[in-house]
Amino acid sequence: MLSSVFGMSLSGIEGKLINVEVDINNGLPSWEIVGLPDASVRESKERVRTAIKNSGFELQSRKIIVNLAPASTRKEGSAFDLPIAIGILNNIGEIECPKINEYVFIGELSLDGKINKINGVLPMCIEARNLGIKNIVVPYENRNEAGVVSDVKIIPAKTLNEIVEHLNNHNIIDRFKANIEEIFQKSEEEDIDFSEIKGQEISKRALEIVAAGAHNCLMIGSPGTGKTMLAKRLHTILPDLTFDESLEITKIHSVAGILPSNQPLITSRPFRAPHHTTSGIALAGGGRVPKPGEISLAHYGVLYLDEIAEFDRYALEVMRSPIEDGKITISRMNCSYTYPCNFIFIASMNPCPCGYAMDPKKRCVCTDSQIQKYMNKISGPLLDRIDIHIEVPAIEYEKLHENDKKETSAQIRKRVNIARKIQKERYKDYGILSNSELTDKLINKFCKLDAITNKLLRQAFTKYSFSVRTYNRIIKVARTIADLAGSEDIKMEHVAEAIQYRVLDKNYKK
Amino acid sequence: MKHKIKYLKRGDLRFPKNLENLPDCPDVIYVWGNADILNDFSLAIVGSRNCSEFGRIFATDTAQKLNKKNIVIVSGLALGIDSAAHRGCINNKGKTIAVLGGGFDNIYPKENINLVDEIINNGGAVITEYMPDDPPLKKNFIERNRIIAALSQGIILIEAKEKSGSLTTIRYAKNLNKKIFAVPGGINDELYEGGNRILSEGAFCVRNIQDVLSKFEKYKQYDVRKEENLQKDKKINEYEEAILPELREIYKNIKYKPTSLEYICLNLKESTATILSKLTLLEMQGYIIELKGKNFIRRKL
Repeated sequence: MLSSVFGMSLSGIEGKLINVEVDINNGLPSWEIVGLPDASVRESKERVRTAIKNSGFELQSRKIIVNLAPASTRKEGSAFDLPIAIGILNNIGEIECPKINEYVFIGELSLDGKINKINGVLPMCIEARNLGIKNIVVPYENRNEAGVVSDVKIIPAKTLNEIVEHLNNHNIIDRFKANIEEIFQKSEEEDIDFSEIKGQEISKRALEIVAAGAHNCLMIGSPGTGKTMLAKRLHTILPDLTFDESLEITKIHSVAGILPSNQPLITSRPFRAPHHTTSGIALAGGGRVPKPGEISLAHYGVLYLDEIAEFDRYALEVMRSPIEDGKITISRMNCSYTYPCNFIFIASMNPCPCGYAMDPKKRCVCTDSQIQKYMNKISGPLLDRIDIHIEVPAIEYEKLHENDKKETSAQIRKRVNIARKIQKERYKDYGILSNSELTDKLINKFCKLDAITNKLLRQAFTKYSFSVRTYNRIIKVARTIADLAGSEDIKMEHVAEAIQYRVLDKNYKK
Repeated sequence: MKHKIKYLKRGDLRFPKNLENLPDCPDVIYVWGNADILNDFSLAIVGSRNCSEFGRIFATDTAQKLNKKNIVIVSGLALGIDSAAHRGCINNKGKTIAVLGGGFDNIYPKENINLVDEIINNGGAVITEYMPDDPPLKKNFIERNRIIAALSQGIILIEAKEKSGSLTTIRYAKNLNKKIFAVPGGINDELYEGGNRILSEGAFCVRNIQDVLSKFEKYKQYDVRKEENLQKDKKINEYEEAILPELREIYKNIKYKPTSLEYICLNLKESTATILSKLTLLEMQGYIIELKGKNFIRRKL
């Protein structure tokens, strides 16, 4: 006799509907799973058999064939345990539910019949909903993330028995629904704020521009001057997260298996700060079945590489095209997944190997060639993708007690939100969202300079011997500064300020 | 290399006469660039490779100003003070001579290969007594210092530690009875140990180029200070007529010592954004110089 139920698998960060067909026949006792299962799926027969037995059902020795359709794509993970078990129980008549095809089952079985949590429940539920499925059975521990999917009944189950009773209409499990407004409200309370930073006026201003135009930024400063402190607070002034963005971030975290079970949605922008020993694969994503890497986990948020000069060069070069494209495609033997990675890239480094090149009081003991060598650790192409470089000098002791200009993150964010809105409106027909994405063609269209400004820029070019690429970077940043000031045109003062954010071109090239 | 090598034998018309005063005068020197300037009036600027930011700026400025008076600046193409001195002449599109410690196939340090091109393109020369494929050996640099000393009429030491190689140049110059100048520095500053010592031994003190020029008969008539003051007044006038007269307030806050941006922000009521854009304008007009770490100093006019 044949029965079929639905399960879900993952392809990148998208769910995929899998039809689990179970056929039980007379014949030599055997159990076969077909449809390109990998080791973890093939092992599920032992878990399923034992879980069924320990849940109090009897499974006679017969010939069982399980097919996972479509049979041509590889299946991995333990999320098929539950649909296989339900298919078998349905087949042998333990479950009598005429509407079983309106259900999708997701979950891993434990030997005693308990249902364990799995990764990637959110994208699976979204895909199932989009395909018109009405009920989704999910592991109880995954209920929070599944609960944010609207227009579908989420049924959180703790054990196999519970599901069987639910399907047989004995003990109905209540549907679970998360209150999205409440989740977003809760996240409002951040425990870090910009007002905690004393001094560092230029860095604060630069980060405001970074947030307003989604520019990438390099911070140069001696150890202990507050680079990490600044970077950590950047996401508190980034524009408010929309529901769709939040959903996409949560999907990635769900697939990577790092979504906290008490947190249904990620409602604040992620801040990822991988250590400098991180490999290229860990940054970009990978593995036999590719998992999202740090750059994807930082999607819609901030990727902060502290001490960038210490990173493996190969690891850094990996990021070159993803920074530009906002996505990364990882290809392996039998699959090719695309993960989004639209992040703001913040890097920090020392000004020289000894760390004192910027200190007016202490003399740096590094030679020019040492400094040049140190600076050369970051490749030109990567530097080309960084619009803003700033120096973060050590602040004087007296400044630490200063409290005059205390702006909170919320105040800054208000300005950032306005500037982003202006950009969104301006570029609505061009498929980009922020100034950092401007192409050369669009720069000519949207960043016209008047005669005096042009003259200033020309002077700066001869004086500091800037490159053509630097020209575009300066104009992009000036565009953001003008947007922050609410100015339609880029004025001279905007360009003049933007030139200040190119310290690497000005002071570190001899 | 794309430059054509000329070689001058001892006794040639263009062979620098000054070199013949050397007891071990080279029989031939190889020249890239303009071989006609080797007998011109020249001054050498030497100093530490690992110099301070102040030293670098002073070397560039001094070289540039002397070069404006048509004085050829001789130096050794090393990093630090040497490069800064050559750079000053190039800023002035003027002539400068670099003396190498190796052959033309082995320009050392490699960082300065572009500087070589710029020197030659601006009518300067790069010379050496070594065959093109001779490597830049350590002993060569000591030997070439005698050529720097012999070639020039006077020699200015900007920054040197107690055991600096630049002091060998000074020693050669002393034996050749050249005029020796040094920039004074704080007695606790190791970069000025060498300079202060030769000052105590009778070298001339350099505070500005007037101190240098007044020691040469040919240039005595120049009163640089008067000239500079005129320039300064003119500049201040221009400055007052500038588009943004409010730049003055911020200029007042910047001292001759490094002034941090934080300090400027603290003293002015304006927003950081305005201050930053004004600083750019000030720097572009040449009133201030930005140092590493967002520190600014006034430029001496």
